[in-house]
Amino acid sequence: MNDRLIRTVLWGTAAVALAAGVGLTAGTLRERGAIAARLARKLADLSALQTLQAQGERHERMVAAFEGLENPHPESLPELVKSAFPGETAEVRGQEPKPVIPGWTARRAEVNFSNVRYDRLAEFIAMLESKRPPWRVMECAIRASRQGGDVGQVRLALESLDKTK
Amino acid sequence: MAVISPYPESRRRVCYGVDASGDTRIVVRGVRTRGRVNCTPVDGAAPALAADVASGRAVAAGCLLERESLTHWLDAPFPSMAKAQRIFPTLMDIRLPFPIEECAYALADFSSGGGRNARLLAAVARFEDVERRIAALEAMGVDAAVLDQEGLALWTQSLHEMPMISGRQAEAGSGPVRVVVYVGPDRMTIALGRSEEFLAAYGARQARPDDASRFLQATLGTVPSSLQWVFAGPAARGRAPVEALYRELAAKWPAPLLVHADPETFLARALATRALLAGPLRCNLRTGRFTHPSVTRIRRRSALTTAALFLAAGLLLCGGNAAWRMAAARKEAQVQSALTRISSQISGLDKPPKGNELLVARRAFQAGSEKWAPFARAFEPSLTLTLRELLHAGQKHGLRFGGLTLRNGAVLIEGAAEDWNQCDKFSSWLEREGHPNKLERREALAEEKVRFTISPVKAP
Repeated sequence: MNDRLIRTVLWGTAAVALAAGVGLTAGTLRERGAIAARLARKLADLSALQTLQAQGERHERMVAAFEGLENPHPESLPELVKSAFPGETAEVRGQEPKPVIPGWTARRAEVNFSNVRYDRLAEFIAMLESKRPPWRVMECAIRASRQGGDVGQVRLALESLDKTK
Repeated sequence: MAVISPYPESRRRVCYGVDASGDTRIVVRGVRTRGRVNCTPVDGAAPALAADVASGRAVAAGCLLERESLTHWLDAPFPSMAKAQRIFPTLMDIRLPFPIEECAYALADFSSGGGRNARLLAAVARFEDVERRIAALEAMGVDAAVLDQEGLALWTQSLHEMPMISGRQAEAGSGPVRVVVYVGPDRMTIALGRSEEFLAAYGARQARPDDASRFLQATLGTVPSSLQWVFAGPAARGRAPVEALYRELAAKWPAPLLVHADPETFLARALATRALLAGPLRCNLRTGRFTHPSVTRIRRRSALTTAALFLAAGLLLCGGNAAWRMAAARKEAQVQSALTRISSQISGLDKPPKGNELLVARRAFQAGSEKWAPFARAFEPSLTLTLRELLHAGQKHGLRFGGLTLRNGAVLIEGAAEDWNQCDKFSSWLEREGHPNKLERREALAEEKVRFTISPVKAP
């Protein structure tokens, strides 16, 4: 009787285990595609997020470079123009500073030369961009002089970053 | 023809075949090696036999004599063996002089022949004969797990040791007839067949030619064109004892006399061989309540092993599935955690909405990108380089710039050239330098120059 009970229990358990195993396997096979697709989507999102994160870290490094400046304020543009082109007339027009990230503003200005040599212009731009923080040229418009030669009217749109605190 | 094993396939390779009748006992020890059985005569009274069998190292096989049992061919109205087995008692009952419920039986052959009917060959013995045989063997110290049927054993062993020369004949009903005659001290048993097909068997207490002749007459009718007399048994040793019997039989049923090698152990060899090797016409009349405990144990163990294998397979499947799902869930959780963390970092949200982590992060990033732009611009290549390169290239291509505007990498130039091609070359150079552009030209006849405008276009 005991032996019979053991056999009955064993066969019953075997049948349940096998049925459960087959059922689970069928379910897994059916869901495998959906699970894989879901994981693939998440991995793709993660990759895109990691790209954004890397860009963000790059931005932070850029900010850190500016934060590390001894004097995080741009030099006076009219003074720079005067020192580069003594005796020449150049119009310097400043624009409203624009806040960027907390603690920093973007300063913009326009410099108009009525008659400047191109080579001296290039030197001037190089000098502006060598400052720390630099004055970066966002736009450069040149109109050649009617007299010819490497001389012309020049309008420069410039931008720099200024720490406000 | 069905191939049956009378004894469950097991690790046992040794079988003692016991030809026991009255006080005589002829025993061989059969050993199965590479699909063949080698038989050696042994002393049936030796304690080694009982010890081997009791320890499980060997199995013993005896048989019910032909006079204690019978074999019978039946036609079944079904081609299915399972159905035929179910209705066998009903089919057989009407052919027996005693109730089938008082008999042990075994199906030795089943052939459907491709038609709607089937043929069954059954070996049947009364319970009292089975009990008597088992008791007789036990009294000799033989615990036989297999109780074979004498007629079938003689027939298959004769074909095994002395195959029919031409094999199966092309048509049923033709082919040589073989009569296997076992002559012992207290009996004569005849097994009769045509080609390899067993037809019938007969047993008698004495070797009387008339009885044999009547049996042949009833089974065959007329004298077949090809007939063999093959003798075996203790009385066939030396041929002389059976020659008298043979001469009388051959007078009515002429055929050459053949004697099996080692005729005295022939039946014992047959029992050992049939118990160790699966083959045709096997049977074991220890069925039902007579089933040997070792057979029951083997079958039970086999069933338990099968159940255990199913259980193991089921557990393996369950375990494998669970492990896979857990691994997939863990991986997904890891990725989700990273998604939430990075999205939260970028967007500033504590808990970005699940499934939209990238969306909220992108929006936050784009919203803030304007604020970062001045810092990014500060690290871009200087416009000075572009200006210098443009002026130098213009000079090299012989162009005179009237106006030049650089903004966000885009170049707008208007000017004049000496000829048409110079503008083309300059425009191509600009393209190569990463400034996609559109070139418009027109002749300025008064100046003998080509006026051109190069304007920026967005890259595709």
